[in-house]
Amino acid sequence: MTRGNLIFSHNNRSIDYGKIALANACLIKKYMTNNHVTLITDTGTVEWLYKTYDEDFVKSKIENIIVTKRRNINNTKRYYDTSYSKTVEKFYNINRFEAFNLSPYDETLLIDADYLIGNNNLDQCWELEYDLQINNESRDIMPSRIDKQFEKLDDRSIDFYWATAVFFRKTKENELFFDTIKHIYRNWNYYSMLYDFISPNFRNDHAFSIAVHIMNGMNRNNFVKPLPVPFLQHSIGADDVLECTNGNQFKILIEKPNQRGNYVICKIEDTNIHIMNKFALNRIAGSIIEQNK
Amino acid sequence: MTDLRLEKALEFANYRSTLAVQQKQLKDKCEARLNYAFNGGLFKINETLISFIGNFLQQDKKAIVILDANETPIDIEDLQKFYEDITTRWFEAVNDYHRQYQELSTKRKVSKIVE
Repeated sequence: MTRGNLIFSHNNRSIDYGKIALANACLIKKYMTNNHVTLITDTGTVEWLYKTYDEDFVKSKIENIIVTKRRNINNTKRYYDTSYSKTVEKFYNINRFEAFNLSPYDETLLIDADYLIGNNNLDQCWELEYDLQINNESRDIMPSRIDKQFEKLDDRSIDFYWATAVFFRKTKENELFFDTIKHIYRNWNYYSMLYDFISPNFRNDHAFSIAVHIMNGMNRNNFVKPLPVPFLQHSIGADDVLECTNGNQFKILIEKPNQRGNYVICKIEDTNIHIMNKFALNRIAGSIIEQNK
Repeated sequence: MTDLRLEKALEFANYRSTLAVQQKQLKDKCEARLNYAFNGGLFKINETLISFIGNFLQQDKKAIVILDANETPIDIEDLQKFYEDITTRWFEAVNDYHRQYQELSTKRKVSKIVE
């Protein structure tokens, strides 16, 4: 039975997702037992990565690089770099539905490049009997900041599931699950209207949530089980990551709720954390790589 | 209230906010470590689970079926090992939480809390 981690990364003009994926691969190597890494990327991203880092070094952290075609799409995303800066940029990492077919593993932990691994808690996912594990809870590192958009797709819609970390085995049911996500991707306008969150831009979390709902028989049911962590953790785009020290200690400026530009400093250590400020992550990715060589 | 006193009050408020965030971090970390995979099932280790299993061990049971965190029935074939694993993990996680919490409590400045 082969086991490994799968990361998707396609650069856009502003964010070097390849470098972020490499930083995360370094963390996976350091903290996880099942630490074989496969990167799904495109020619431009991997060539840029090899320009920045030695090819042998990259391959020592990411054993398997699968190059796919990056389609020129109109899918955009708002990237925040604290509350003071917002950039609308192309978002190419939307081919997550291909994970089932592209994964070389029998048992795959699919993680976002920006979900930084800081401990081995997720190693337990391989021990569970559950063939599909996805969490529907992610806690903000600022406890008093509660964002309703991460609970349901919309006020009158279905439960929100995080595509940030997904464990799956290659079963027939899971193949159907990923085919369903592909179908949702191809009919995005219809599904965004049906599920009442009209949005022109494709979002992986939403597509996974809809697929879970469909596979559950249009109901709340138990087709998916949570990962062996009770919740994911995240910091939002309004926060800023100041530095990385000792490999997995992060100092983050967290914006206080309803107080724009007013921050609390926080130290994160030995924790898996989803960083939504991609610009900040881009800035510290180099030091993460250096400290976890 | 003079400006100086207000400044001190705001400084203290900032300290309390920072402390609360760090304390929550420790609690969340402890909670995450108390998730335990065994025999294909997922268990949340807490005082109830420990005493429940301990109770059956005292009755010389060697194996039982219990419901995991997802309410799936899981056959615990080696009850003694399961008990040892959950107690070890519980002590490790809670003792670490206690130690780090105590360290945090002694720090009186924001810069010290996050150093």
